[in-house]
Amino acid sequence: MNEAIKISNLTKIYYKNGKEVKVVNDLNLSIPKGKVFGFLGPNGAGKTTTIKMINSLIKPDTGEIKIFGQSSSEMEVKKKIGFMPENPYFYHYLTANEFLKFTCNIFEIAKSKQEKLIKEILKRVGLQESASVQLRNFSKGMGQRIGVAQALTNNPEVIFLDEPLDGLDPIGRIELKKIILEEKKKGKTIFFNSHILSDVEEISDYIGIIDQGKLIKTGLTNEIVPKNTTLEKYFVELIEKERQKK
Amino acid sequence: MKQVLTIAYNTYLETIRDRILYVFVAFAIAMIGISIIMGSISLNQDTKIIKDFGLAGMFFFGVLIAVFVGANTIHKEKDKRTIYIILSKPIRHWQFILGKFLGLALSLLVVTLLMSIIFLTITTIKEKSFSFLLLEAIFFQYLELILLISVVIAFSSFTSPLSAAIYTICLFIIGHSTTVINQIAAKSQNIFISKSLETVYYIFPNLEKFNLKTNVVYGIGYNGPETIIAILYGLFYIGLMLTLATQILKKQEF
Repeated sequence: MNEAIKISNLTKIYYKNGKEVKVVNDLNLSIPKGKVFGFLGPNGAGKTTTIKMINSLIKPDTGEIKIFGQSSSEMEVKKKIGFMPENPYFYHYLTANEFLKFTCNIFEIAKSKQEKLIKEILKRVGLQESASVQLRNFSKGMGQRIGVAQALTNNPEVIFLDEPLDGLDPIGRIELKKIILEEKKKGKTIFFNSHILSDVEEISDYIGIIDQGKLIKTGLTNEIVPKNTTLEKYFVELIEKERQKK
Repeated sequence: MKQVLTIAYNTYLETIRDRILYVFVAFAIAMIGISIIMGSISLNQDTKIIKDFGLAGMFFFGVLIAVFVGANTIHKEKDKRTIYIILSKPIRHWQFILGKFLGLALSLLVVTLLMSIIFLTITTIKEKSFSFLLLEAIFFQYLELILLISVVIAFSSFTSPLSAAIYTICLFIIGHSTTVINQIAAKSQNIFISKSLETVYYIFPNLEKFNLKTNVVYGIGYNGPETIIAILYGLFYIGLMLTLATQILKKQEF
């Protein structure tokens, strides 16, 4: 199957002061296997709500989410998913090593393989020196790195990252982009939300732009962004144009 | 089951690394120490006083640990958003709740064992024989404590830690008064009061079933069927509370 993620007619409604607000409004997306998809939008556009619905933290009001043709809430599907939430928080009393062991145990990874796997992942995210440090002593950037690490422990087919570049210094951003591209090379599908548009433009094959719950543009990155402009400029103009229409 | 045990072990680590636990344990051990002093100044009642105070002290601090550590457990997962990491992985809601419960029950078991070793050593030296009846009383105290953990988990799945603690303490008080409530219901002339009290009697757990402190003083333990009924009763209520907590959690969004 070439389609890794398929989102159909996805809607989430909240009520504010008795008024219905469609945080995600009839969202349709199709992301091919082995591609990087950047999901963009201003604050409160519905990006995090979408990623939470995909990862079973919020229930959609209507619509469905399929990963390789199966509902994303199925346990078998969850085994193939890696997820890093926005501004991730972890168990402060655990060390980085203990936390990744905890994640490995959830995915029922054999004890004999865990040590090697954890060492490798910590090295990839640049935390090999901090394996025995309690997570309470981690900086924001280190928290982002361990967030990515835990999303990779099960060698997932599809990886969801909510604002993964947030809080990282320039070196951290370069390293994380490298990890994303390495995963893509392995045939993994990556879906990520980000505000840092220059990075999105650099690593995404496809982008989707959402505003006020509605998907306003989606397609191949190099086809969407006109040649004489940047994604950032295009994004701002598009959002302004869409809001004027309303 | 692997997932349940993973959550349980993580919860155990969380509890055991929490300083508040050590404060409670220190107080409980101090209470056992005080019982020895009180016993030594009493007139030939030292063993009885040590048993009374020791058991009551262990129980009191056990209740504090169960209620106050338990009240935070689910709330902290939501507040610190660690639940995002858990529920997005292949873990069912019931596995999460059962894991949290088992982790807390294990922490309390370690604490109870530690206090029991100190307490039983003292009473064995004083009486020059080991009291199996005391062991039985401690076992039922522990069963009641883990029942309280299940109750506080159910409450903390939908309310704040403070409210969960208050509700659990209210249930604890009512649970130890069910016999009195039933007697009042039987004697009451007012049908409304009588039926209301009867409902309370049947809904709330009868925690007196696990109270063998008085029995210890008179040297009377439970017989076989009584022991089995009390254990099954406790397990049934725990199952009920954990099912309730799971259903509440399933309806929530994060």
